[in-house]
Amino acid sequence: MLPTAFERAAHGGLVQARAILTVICLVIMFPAPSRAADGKPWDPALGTATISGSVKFDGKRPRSRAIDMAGADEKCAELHGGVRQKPETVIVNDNGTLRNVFVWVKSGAEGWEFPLPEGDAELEQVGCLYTPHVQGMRTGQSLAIKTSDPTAHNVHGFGKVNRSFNRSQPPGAADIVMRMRRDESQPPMKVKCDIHPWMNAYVAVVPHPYYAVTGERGAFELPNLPPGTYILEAWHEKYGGMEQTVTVADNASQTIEFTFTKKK
Amino acid sequence: MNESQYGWWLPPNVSAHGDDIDLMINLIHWFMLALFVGWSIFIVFCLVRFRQRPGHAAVYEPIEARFNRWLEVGVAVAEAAVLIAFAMPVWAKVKNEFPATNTNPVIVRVIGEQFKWLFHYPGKDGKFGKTAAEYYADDNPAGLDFDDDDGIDDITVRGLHIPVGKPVIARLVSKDVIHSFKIPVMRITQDVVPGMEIPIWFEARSTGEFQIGCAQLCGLGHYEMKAKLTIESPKEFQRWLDEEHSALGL
Repeated sequence: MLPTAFERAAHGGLVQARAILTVICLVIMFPAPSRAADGKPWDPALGTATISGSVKFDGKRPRSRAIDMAGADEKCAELHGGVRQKPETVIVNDNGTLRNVFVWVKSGAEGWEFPLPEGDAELEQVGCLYTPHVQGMRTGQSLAIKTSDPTAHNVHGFGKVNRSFNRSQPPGAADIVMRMRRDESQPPMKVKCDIHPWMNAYVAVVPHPYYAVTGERGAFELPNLPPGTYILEAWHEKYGGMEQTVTVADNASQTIEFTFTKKK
Repeated sequence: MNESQYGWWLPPNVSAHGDDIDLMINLIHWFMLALFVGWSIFIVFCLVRFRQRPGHAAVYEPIEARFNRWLEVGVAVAEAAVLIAFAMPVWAKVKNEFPATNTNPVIVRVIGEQFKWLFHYPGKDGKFGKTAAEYYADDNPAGLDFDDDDGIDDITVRGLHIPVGKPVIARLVSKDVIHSFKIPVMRITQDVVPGMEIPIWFEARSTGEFQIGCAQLCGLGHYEMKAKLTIESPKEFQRWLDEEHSALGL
């Protein structure tokens, strides 16, 4: 018997619904790349310029108090032989520079596809402290969180752009590997331990390789830049960010200086 | 503290007011046991005595009997006695009558945060440094104004030290959510509410090392919100204070 007009219409609707469902499923299973390929492949021959400099600290050295790990977790204190550690939030170096400042090219490096470095960025928990305290990594790279401590940690990442996470890591546990799919550098992502509240770290996820973190000399260097004009940002977890516009010529080096002043 | 310190009944009592609290807990539990057993027997009796049988119709009016009234009055009098004769005096003593300043109490500020306790002592000068919520930071968990000179000698630690036989006043504050400051061996439980400073007091009558916990579910890490309580002789307590001061370079 031939299908009636009603039956044909109903069947047609079903086919349409199936097609729509299939498309939805495909979209869920294979999402578009989170960051569209927005540029041409990077040509290393172009990177001839360098911007370097230092981050100064102006004013009286801020006070801070050493961390009493023993009252909260004796295993942590034992790892330091009972010696109390200073918090890493504000470290003013002997030469008057500021440590743990994240310096990066905020604007001007767009339009290129830079190859990803091999391996994961690493965040280690050693002696109930995060190492490194501040770091940069590349968008699309993975962050491997490791522990060598004999006590349990809980890694809590406060992603505002990337997915936030909250994972326990008992002693001897496997690394927690989180892929950072999106840029997250304004501000960098905070990571803290819910069990040991003094533990915190900052991870900036940047779409290009032009970033650095100041160390014991408070210096930074951003090599292999193509000549051009850039906006550089220096960011500190307590004092926030400050910007400078820098123009650098082919085969040239530019030196700049950031100065943070003590805020209450 | 060692788990074996806890028996099958209440944890050890090292608090000066602990006997009163334990008496209340025991009294109420025995009273509840008597009520529970009495009611259970009555329910079983009713199930058997008033079961459905041919020739017996249900009656829906309450039974008026002198015995019932005496029983009800008796229970009410017993409850009133527990409240007026036991609970109120203990409450007045523990919650309202704070130790006088001439007893020279130890004053400590207790800061609850997800998921640890922090203890803030006023230091040598006996004055707390200025604190405010705006100063809370990763490197400043006590919220001290580092520019205030009163705060230079303040001690901020993660474990509570107290001397035995001396009243302690704890001022409880919270940085984030509602916590509850609980020292089982001290028979102390007090909610810690953000935006408020709630004082409590207690006095230890024997030395030892015990555990402080959080008695209010405060988030995923609630189970980890513990701290060590060290009760020591006044001399040892003073030595500990001196050590803390020298750790600050004072």
